[in-house]
Amino acid sequence: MLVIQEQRLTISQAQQLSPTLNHSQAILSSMVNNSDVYLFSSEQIFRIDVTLRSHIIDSALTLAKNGVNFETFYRTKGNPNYWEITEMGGLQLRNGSQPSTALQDIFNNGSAYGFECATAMEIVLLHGMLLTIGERLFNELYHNLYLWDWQDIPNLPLTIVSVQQGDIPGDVRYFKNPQVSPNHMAFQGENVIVLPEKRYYGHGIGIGDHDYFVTQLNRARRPGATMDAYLMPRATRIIAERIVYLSQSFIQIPQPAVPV
Amino acid sequence: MKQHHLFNHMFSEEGPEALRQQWNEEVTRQPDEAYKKLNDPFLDFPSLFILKDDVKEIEALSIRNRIALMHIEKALNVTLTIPSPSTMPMSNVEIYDCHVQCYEWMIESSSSTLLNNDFLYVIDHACTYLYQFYNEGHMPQLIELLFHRYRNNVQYHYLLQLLYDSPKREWLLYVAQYLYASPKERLFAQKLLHFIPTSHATTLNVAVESIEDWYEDHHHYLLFTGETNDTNHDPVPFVIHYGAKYLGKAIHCQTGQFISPLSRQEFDKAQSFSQLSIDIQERLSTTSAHYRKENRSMWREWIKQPLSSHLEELHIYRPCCH
Repeated sequence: MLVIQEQRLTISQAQQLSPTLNHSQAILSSMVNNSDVYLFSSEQIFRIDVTLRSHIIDSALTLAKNGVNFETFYRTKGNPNYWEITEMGGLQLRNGSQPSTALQDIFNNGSAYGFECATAMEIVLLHGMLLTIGERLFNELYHNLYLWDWQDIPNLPLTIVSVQQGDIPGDVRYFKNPQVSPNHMAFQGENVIVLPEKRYYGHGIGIGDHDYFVTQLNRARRPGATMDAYLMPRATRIIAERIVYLSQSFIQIPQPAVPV
Repeated sequence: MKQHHLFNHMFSEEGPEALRQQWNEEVTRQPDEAYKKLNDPFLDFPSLFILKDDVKEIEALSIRNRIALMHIEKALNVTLTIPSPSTMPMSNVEIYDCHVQCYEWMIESSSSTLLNNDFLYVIDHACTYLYQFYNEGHMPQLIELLFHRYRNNVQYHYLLQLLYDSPKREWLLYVAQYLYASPKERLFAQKLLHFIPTSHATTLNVAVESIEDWYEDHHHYLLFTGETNDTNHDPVPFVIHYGAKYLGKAIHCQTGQFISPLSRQEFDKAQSFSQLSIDIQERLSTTSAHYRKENRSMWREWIKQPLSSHLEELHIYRPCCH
């Protein structure tokens, strides 16, 4: 259910308010048809949310096919022109590098990079931000960019919510493999971006539906395991309201296709 | 005794190269004596790790050293061709026990060593085997290892993940003790315990006492979620099962099932309770726990009343209930 300023919207009303982007239709359908309530305090915040989600999906689809590798934090790789590898296996932006250029390099030059799935999620969310707010503001907000695990990234406000009835494309979720073999610890779980049509993108595993991810993770279970891998019940998402606040005077959000 | 072991002493005082040199001199001069020192129970794992390429083919290796070298081989994906311990006359149970003891030794004797990334990776793997696969190991040791890594700004992601992945609830109390540590460690402990109300209390004593009180009040009702630092930025590893707290019935931490069977009336009440919104569940369970603590016999009478009268008592009106 989609509610903006206390008014419940139909799919056609939502379409009129929403920017027309690659995945806005799938996002709106999910919000309107879901029995969980998606509440926005203004039309502007709603538009930002849809825009961000659509760009996050675009970024995930691009990262899925650019040749970037999975590596544990012990073997993180990055283009040394832009990134320094820390003791923790994080990617620290080099002094003098533009955050937007360095982030874009991961998408343009994938084979030079290798990282964990949680790092991949940060990269996808930040790239979605870059596409949404533009280079100028992005470079101001993330001038000291550090990509590691799910540690707090300044100016990337995240919230974690229970997803009772289903997720929305652009959410981040997690498949857990509780009986993973100690010989295959890289498969103890997988962070995924929710894509349209009930598909997911996970770094290292690729793109597939729910059963595909469960099957892939189940293959790495210990002998005699009795529990399947499963999708955990909470989702991580960017707080669109905070992004509006952060970027008040800079942001250029695509406008609705039809005047309202 | 450990510090008196020549190899441990050489490593800690003079470094890895001095240890290797010492070994090569000893094994050339008096091989039997050198092997004896290598197999001495007081040898620390970091010393063996330094010597791994020099000792890998020795037939006279102790079973503990063989298991440790095989572990290094597997973790680092290198070939050391160690004689397998399975050739020794032991039962499966004894082999199992030898593995557990070996991992305990590797972790315990390495607690303050941060040699290099390969070494840390091997220790992370040993912890995974001991704590997750064998379900053994002492939580305070894992927590100290984690905080030692954090203190020294070296890789700790996988140790933290292992801690979060443990359903042994008492780890919360061990972490709480680090609120008394340095400001940096205190912040880390606070972050791990953020989901416990009042863990951020202004004075340390109050914070630690509040966590201990909360644990005492809730540990029977805590449900393991499986969330870790790999899952999201703010993991909540345990949540309160409000239905259990309301009924005053302990649950199994991982399955959420009631440990003692419920009566028909309790079962129906639990079913109706689970249909309530989370905030109402929280209020009702808090009230029940309060009564239970104040006067157990009065609470026993109170909890027998239907759920509808408890809702009424809290001025919550909705159609239901048992």
